[in-house]
Amino acid sequence: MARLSIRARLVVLSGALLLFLLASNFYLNQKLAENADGMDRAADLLGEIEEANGAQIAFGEMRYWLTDLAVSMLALSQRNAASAHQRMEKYLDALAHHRPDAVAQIRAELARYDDYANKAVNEYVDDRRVIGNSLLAQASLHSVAADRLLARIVAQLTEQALAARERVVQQARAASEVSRLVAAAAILVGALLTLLVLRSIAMPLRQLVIAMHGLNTGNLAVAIPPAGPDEIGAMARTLAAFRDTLNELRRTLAEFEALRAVGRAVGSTLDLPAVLSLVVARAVEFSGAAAGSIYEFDDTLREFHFRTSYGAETELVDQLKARPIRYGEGAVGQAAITSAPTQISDLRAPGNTGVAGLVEELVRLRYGSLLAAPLLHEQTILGGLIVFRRETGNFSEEAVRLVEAFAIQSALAVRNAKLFDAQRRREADLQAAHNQLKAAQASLIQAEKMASLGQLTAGIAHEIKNPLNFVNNFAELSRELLDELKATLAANASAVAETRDDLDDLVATLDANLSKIVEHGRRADGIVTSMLLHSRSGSGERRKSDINALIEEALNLAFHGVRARDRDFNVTLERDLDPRLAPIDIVPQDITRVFLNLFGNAFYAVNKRRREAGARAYAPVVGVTSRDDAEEVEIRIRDNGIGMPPEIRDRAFTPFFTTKPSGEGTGLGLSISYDIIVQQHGGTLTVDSREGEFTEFTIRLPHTPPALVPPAAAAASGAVA
Amino acid sequence: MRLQVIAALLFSMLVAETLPAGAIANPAPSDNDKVIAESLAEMLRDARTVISNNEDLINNPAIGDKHLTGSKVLGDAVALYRKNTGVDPQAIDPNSRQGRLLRAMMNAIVEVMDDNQDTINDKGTGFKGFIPAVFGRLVGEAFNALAEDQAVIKITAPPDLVRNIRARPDAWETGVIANKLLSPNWPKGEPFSADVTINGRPAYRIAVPEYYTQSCLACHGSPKGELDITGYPKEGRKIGDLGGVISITLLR
Repeated sequence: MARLSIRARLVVLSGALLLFLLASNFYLNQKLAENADGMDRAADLLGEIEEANGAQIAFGEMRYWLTDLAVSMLALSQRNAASAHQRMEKYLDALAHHRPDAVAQIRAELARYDDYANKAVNEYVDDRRVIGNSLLAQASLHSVAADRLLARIVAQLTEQALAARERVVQQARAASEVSRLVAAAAILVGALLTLLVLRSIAMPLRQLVIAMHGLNTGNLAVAIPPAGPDEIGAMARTLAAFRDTLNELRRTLAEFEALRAVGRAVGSTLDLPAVLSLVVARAVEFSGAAAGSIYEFDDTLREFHFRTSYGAETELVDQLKARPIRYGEGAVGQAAITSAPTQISDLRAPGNTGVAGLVEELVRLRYGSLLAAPLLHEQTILGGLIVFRRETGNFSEEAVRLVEAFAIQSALAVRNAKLFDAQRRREADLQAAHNQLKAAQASLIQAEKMASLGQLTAGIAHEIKNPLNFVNNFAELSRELLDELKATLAANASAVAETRDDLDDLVATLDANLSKIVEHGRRADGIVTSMLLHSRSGSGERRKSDINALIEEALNLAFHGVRARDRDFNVTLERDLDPRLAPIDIVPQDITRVFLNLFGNAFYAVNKRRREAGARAYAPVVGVTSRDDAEEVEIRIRDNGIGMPPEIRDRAFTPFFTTKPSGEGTGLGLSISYDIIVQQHGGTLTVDSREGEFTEFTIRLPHTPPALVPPAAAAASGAVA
Repeated sequence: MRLQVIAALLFSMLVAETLPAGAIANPAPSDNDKVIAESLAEMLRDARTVISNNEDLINNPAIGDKHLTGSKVLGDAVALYRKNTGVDPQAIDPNSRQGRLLRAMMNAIVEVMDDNQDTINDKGTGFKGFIPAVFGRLVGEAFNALAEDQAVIKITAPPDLVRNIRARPDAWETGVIANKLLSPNWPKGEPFSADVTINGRPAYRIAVPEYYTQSCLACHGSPKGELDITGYPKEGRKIGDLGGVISITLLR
């Protein structure tokens, strides 16, 4: 049974059952046909009996109506008698097909009866009753004869019908018995066949279910039923293939996991020895080898040097460490040259390509074969991975592929380590460069201060020169006057009283001169103080300061600084300073430096435009406004100078960016100003400009500034845009 | 019927000058076959009418002797005859052919009535089957016996309406009924007569049609097939349909 396919088994089962069914059906049909024939015969006989009975009844009616006619003379009786006669004739016609002789006899008797009866009726009609009665008596004789004939036919037919019915019953009974036996046999055989077929399907299916359940629960060693030629065999084969695939998948998954672990290790740690140890361990484990080692290639010496091993005996490790492998030497060297895995399938085979000395040691340690894969990165040889196996023979393709994959991971690890070393060196270099840059930046800032101071020097000198002139002149004059006073007093001591008024004038004048000397001397002192403040690095000391006063001072200084360099320079200064401006907490010398920068730039812009446009066509204006809106103080410095195109405006606060000719600007003024306002004072510094029209800087300083940040520190942090 | 009326009118005109108004004429006997035959038919119809008029009395089970004797019926029939024809049948010369035949008819009426007194007077029995048709047939049969070799009278009908086979129409009657009396163009009530030869003997035959009246339809009306009081299926006829034929043969 198991040799047949399930379909064939079901076909055999169905065929057998169908055969039984057809056979019993055929037999029953035969019997039913015979029975039907018997029934037909019985029905025919019953039909004949019915016809004979019908004829008898019709004859009786006919006799009745004729007798009634003789008495009543009613036409209705005559018509009824005629109708009965017709019916009887029909029955006799039907009966004549089966019993023509008997029917002929009946008809003869009937004709005689009819003749006598009609004659009798006619006699009655004519009121000859005696003759009528006589004729009716004769008719009666023939009536009895016809009646007997009909009764005999009915009796014969009844007997035949009963016999036919009995035969039918016997046949039906026999057929029923046989049918029951056949049905029982069919059920028995069908049940046996069904049991056999079901057993042949269910048992292997159960085994398959157990196997599938086992596979489903991860038991890959579960027994799979033998693969027969049927559909279940095909399922068993498929299941076995599925199990093999699962095994393969599990192995592949393990390899993948190993590769992933190695990849993760490569990507997450720069501990090269640890990574290489992991790689060689996994390569040995998954390639079915007994031991393995990794070499790193020294490009300078063109040699492979042992780095680490797994599973190798100590003496083998010692040998490997002691014996660098030259480029092109042995399996590792060959793999490096060919950029492909190389294997020695039999280390004992004479003339193999193994490294002399190492091969003998390997053979001594009962290794049979080895496989080497190059550690390559972008066609650059970085080292080699070797696995050693006890068995001889070629490594499987999977093993080769796997060792090659591990070699790639090793190459990545080596490369990453090298890159990390290079990176570390670069970072050290960068740090040194950064330190140098910071020093240079500090020097530049100091230089910018010096430059700014240099720019102020002329103006300051001018400013100092005037009061000093006054001081000198008035001092000189005072000295002369004092000399004159001394002479006057000496020449005419008695006349002192008379010259009292003159003396008083002299003294008053002297007093006034001295007052001037004091005033201008203080002014010079103030200028000098400002210079000192500006040139100092700044203490970062914050204090309440009058912004408007700082604006005035810076504007004055800046203006005279420009005028000192260019006598033709002139500008309309528009001040719109908010008198309600309350003192705010700032570092005044730093804010002054910002104002000096912005005013200096404004004067430079209008002066440049004046030179380009000519004094007549252009009226330079520099305006400054201050406002206090309770939250912050706003200062706007606007000029109608050359303006800035957008690309320059966007870079205005970039350190070392300047549009001034070389030697006139350091490119740090706005950068430091931005730093002072934004980083140090927590404010904002923005610029709006249109080329050829105007430039406007807006400073917003909060009433409550954040913690003080020294401008130098802010600059060093690189926060300046 | 129309002929009788016309004859009666002619007769009246002939005797009008000699008879006082309202008197019954004492007619001269006619030898005209047609007149004789129609007078016989009239007498038969009148007697039958009397029976019809007394049908309730006859079928009354509560009354024994109904006093409906032969003389009573004949008297009523003669009265009707007189009324319908203006002629007293009893006054016709008994020796004449008409007189003999009319007297045979009147005697037949008396005979039938007298022969059936037991039936008519049977107390406790309702319907007695002594209906006008039976009476007419019996009178005809009695007349035929009395007028042997001179006249034969039969009340027949279209074959499908004949109830008693003794009333079956013969070949001549069958032909007259089918081709004349039932013809759509045949004048209503018009008799058909002809001179014929019967067994080599010349004879005069007349067929007088009779039509159903309302009283006839109790047994011959609708619904067709329903049994009437005699147990016979009704024929489903209507008033005015040809219901019977008085066939009279006067042998010469």
